[in-house]
Amino acid sequence: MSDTPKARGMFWKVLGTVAAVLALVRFGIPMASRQITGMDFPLTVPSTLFLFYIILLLAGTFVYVTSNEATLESFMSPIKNALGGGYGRRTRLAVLILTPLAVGAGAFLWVKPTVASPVALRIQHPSSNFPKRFESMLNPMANPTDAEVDQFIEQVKSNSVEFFPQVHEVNRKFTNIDHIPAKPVKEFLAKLAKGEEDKKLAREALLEKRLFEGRALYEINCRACHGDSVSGDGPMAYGFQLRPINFTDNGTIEVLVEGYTFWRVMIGGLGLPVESTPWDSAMPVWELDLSEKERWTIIMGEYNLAEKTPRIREKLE
Amino acid sequence: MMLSNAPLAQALMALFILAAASPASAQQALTPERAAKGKAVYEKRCAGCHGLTGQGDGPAADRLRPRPRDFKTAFYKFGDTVFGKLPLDAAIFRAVAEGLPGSSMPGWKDVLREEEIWDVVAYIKEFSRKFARLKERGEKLEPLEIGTAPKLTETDVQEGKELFLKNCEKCHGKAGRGSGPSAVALKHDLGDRIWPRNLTKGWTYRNGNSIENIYRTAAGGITGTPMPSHLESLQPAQVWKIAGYVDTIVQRERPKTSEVIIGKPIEGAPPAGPDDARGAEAAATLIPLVGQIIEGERWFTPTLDSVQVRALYDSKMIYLLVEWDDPSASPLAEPNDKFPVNEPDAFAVQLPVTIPAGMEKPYFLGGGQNSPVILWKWTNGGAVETLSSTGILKAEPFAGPAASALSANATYVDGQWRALFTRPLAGGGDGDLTIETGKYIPIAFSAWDGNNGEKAEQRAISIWYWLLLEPPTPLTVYLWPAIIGLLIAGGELWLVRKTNQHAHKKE
Repeated sequence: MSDTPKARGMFWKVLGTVAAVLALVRFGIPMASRQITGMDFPLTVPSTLFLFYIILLLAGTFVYVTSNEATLESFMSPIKNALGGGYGRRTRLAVLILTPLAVGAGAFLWVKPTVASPVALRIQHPSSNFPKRFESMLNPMANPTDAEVDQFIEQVKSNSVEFFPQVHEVNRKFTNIDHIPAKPVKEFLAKLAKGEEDKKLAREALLEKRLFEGRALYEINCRACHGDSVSGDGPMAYGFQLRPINFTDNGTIEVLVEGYTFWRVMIGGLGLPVESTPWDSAMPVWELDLSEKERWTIIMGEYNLAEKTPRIREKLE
Repeated sequence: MMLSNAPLAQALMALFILAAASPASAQQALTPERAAKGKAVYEKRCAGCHGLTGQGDGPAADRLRPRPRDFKTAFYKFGDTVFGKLPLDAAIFRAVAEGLPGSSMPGWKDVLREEEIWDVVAYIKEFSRKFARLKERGEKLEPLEIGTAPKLTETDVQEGKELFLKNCEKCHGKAGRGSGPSAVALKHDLGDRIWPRNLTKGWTYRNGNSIENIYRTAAGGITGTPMPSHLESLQPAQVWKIAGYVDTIVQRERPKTSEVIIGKPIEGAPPAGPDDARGAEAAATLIPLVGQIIEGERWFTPTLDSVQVRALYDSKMIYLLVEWDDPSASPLAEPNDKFPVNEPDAFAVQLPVTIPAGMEKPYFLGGGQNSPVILWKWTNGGAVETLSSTGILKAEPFAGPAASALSANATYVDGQWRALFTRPLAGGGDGDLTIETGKYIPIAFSAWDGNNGEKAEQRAISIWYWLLLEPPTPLTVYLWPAIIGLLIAGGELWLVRKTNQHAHKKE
């Protein structure tokens, strides 16, 4: 019997290695993933990959163990010894009883029916039914025309500034913009009071007025789900498993062109294509309840509250 | 490593803010300069609900319950002082930084820096003259003394229960679910309707749910509301005993919800009613409910926030047991004149017409034009009915053999409705659902609190969940492991014999 020092205790080495590698894949990688991603949930190794690791591991150890007589002998000797009663009859009896029980229990866990709800893969930003014309749209409320600016100046002068109905409803007393807390508004009004009509300031003041309205419309219509802090954590959010979008997340409205955001608000959950599971989405179809101008204004308020800017469309030509 | 630093920094920041929230660091001088800086933050972050003038009349205010605080009257609910007194700075800071659980007030500590929050605190105090007058008079606010919770024996807790029934039951109800006789007529001092806390749901306690927090609220009361300071009529030791009792009925964390309601097969006598002990044989799944804020007349202020569901079945019938907390059983026998609204309470189970083959389901909110759903609707004081619905605004009565065999039996005890829906598994044709075992069936729920004025689409809703009637475990599940175990045992014996023979030969 060749019992070289190198081959001693091969059985326990193999057992130890297999256990260590399996523990690393099963627990080590998910643990490490939490450190790397900084998320509060682990990324588990997919079961097919796990199976792959096991096969590679077993094949590797098999090749290693059977590579020469000495290692094979060393690997087999504790097994033979146990079977032959070399460790005592009691040990043998224990091994003989526990092994089939352990394998049987493993098999039971394997075949036992488990409850796992059907998984529906979902595409969050679908494009299959996104009409091309929206892609190049600029937010008309964020880019007022000269005529709109002129009209705005007239409205301010005649103390008859128009607000959207929902905004007017909560602030009936306001027919002008002096309550809007923004520097350009104050400056514009100050100059106007002196009889100066600063067009550039008027444009800025108009934008501030629209941002003010956009934030108010957001608070009225979107806040319950998307939250005051626009991070998808409104008081109603807990009821929905498709969590309301977190607009402060770098992967949401910041990577989308404004036309896309506008389109999503317009079509709501029901207008989504099947790959985005429209039947599960609680996003209202805002096309039904808000005018086009209101929707564009909400988009302004939403980006403003999230302190994000929309993606600029690439020039493809 | 770069990636993992960000959360670490955030965690440190959070710790920093938490540390700042303790009274020790509350000695921040709230100067007018601070308030001026806070104005800008306030106008962007707070005015949406609390209003530009701080009177709790921002654009969203009407869609909030409770209504946002009016800083002008300065009725701060949670001020760490005794009822009717102004709040401590640290208490306002805490409300802004941490938010008020169960209300619409979010915590701002992830959005605003600690300094900014102090600026806002300085600014919102300026809405009321009361703080300045206090300062002019040279008075200081007395913090409510809490101390540490005493060790309470079982007798103390029992005494606490008796004190609770004497002092708290009128509003909070016998079981603490906020369903006392006065609950339906409570008003905030500023006029809006409010409800007493359901003390069993600790995650909705605005001011924290530790035993010290419970003592603080019971002892100090809630300014502006019918919740008085109990130190007027009770000794601190007695209030601690009440807190000790509440501590035994509160569930602190919102229970985890499961996507699947597992129906258990039963043999023998079916559950006779909603209070039958057989109902407990199936595991309960807690389903969150939220206001229907999607279509038609949106409903932002529901009172019902969850329903607990259990399912049982036998060879013919399904038994669905639903339980939900409701502060009153309406229509009330005697409507209260403060809030005369008196619609009936109702509950509906929503199911598809056929079990979906693929991943496609009907629209969760009452089905869709081409994908109808059926509703089993129970109305308090009315008949149970089956409805066919192609949208939340479009439901009509549906007739058929299964529909006519549908029954519902409900009881109301101490702030909780329990209803048992029973229907044959077989739909009996005519486009009604046949409930099969082992299949995942979409299921959703709606609940109406009539005393809150809920009717039609104004109600609390859930999204789709799954109902799975667990088939009895097949014999093969036990057979295969046994066979494998036996085979291995046989193999082992054979190996032992082989080894022994081998050893004999060697000898």
